[in-house]
Amino acid sequence: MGRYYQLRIALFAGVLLLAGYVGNAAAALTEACTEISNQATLDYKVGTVDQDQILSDDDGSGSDPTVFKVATLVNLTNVTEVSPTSVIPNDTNDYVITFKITNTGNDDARYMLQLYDRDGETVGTDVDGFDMTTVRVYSDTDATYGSGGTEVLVAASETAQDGSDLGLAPGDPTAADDSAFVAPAGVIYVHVVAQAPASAADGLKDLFTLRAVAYNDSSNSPGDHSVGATWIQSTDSDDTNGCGVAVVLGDDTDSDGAGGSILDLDSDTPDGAAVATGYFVITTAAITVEKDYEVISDPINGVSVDAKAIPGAVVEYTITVTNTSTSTDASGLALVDPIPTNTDYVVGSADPSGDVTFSNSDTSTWTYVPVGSSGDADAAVKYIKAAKATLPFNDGVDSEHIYTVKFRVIIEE
Amino acid sequence: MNRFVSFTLFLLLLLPALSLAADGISFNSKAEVERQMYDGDGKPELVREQAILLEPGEVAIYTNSFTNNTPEAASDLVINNPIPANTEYLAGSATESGYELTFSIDGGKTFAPAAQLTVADGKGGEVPIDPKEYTNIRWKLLTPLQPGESGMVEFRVRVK
Repeated sequence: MGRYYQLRIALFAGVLLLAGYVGNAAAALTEACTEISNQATLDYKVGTVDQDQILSDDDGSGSDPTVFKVATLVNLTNVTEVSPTSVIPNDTNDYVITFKITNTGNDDARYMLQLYDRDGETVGTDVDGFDMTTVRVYSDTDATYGSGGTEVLVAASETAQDGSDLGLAPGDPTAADDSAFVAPAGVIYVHVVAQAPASAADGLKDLFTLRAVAYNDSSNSPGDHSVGATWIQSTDSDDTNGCGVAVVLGDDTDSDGAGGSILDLDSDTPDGAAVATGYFVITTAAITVEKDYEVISDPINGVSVDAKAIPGAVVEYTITVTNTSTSTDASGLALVDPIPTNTDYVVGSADPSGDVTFSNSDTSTWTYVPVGSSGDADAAVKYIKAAKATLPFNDGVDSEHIYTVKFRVIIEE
Repeated sequence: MNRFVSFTLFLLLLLPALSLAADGISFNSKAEVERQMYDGDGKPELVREQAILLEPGEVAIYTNSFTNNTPEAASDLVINNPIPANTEYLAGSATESGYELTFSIDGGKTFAPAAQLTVADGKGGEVPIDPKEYTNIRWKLLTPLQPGESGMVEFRVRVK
């Protein structure tokens, strides 16, 4: 009973203390198996005569330093996702999300790394809602994909829910040499590189979860790594003395928030796994267009709310374009409308006039200038175009995300 | 039985005589850890155990004990303990009562009481040096250590 409590207290204290260290990059943990050696000196006199200096001893015989060793801390693994990546549909560029894996223990560690392309699940508040295409996975020694470093293609494709070991180097469980190990405070990166789908709705996310399991056993096959069972002493040649049982510490929170489902990749006990989820998010303008008309006047009623759509009547069209996205501006907006058959454009009626150009032939030439005085009908106008450089997203404050174009026609007699 | 008892008595009588001759002043240092244990009633109690394997962040308690096994009083007794590598001194943990307690921040070249170990704060004033920077602890026994008398000093460090 006493022993059980003691272990719990020791673990808890360790977590608290280490939390302080993790935040401070400069304070690296003392490496596993380091000997902490203490020896004091004692000087004295008899009468006024100096006596020989005495060295402290550890056990009452001789003058040996007092020594203890530093325990191995395992599984202080931290996985973070660098930042969400915004994706524009139909863009042919590569998009990247990057995971950073930090060895926050005090001994060399290998990592079994598993990537999961989520399929409709919810992680935290994020819901998986679309799929990127041409997914590839790279390991890297620096944080930026395509910037150099030791960049290795580790998976040419990735299928949904594939949790097999990516076999990253460093981290290759079959490698016999120390190069596969990540030193204490060492970092490796995993880039998930993918391309945008042809179309997807604004705000949809494609979630990827990376799971890292720290281990240092080179003999076991991938997938067998339960840290507590397989952790062996440091592989450094100067640490072959061994320093007792490794302490499996650190990550004891359920970081994936998946509860007890089959995708509970990280339990709430110190289990050797650390998990992070990152995502691609579609950011596209979402445009809606609405066209209304109103009869302004007719030859019988004049300008009246009772005006009818009869020959000679003036009809006003109102086209309303709305960007419903809450995150993305729309740019290069071009609104083209044919002048309806049996109607003629009313010269000077387009509003805002500065945005509008005309064609008297097809939709490739926009140099025609309507002929006549304001209010005259010009039957030569075939198309009207309104151009707007930027339509801001809906910020919930103003109505700048709404663009309105008006023009009038006369119904031919 | 009688023979065994008398042999043991002989040893017990002999041992102090031997150590008096051989040891002069004995000087031991032990490292311990303090664990919170619970007794049968669930009450917490701190128990010290020998330090064998410590995690980074854990605290070790060093106890340096000494005994005057000579027939003469030992005067001007000074203990100098360098802070072990990969550890840092825990502020206020060194035994003070009965000693002149000083610290060094330069590897033992100079010593001063904690209150006098300051550094310029860049604003014209002085601030105390972080005790984590201490490199050595020195205890001067204020009174001579009489024959047969013992003493001990303690301090704590945190494993980095």
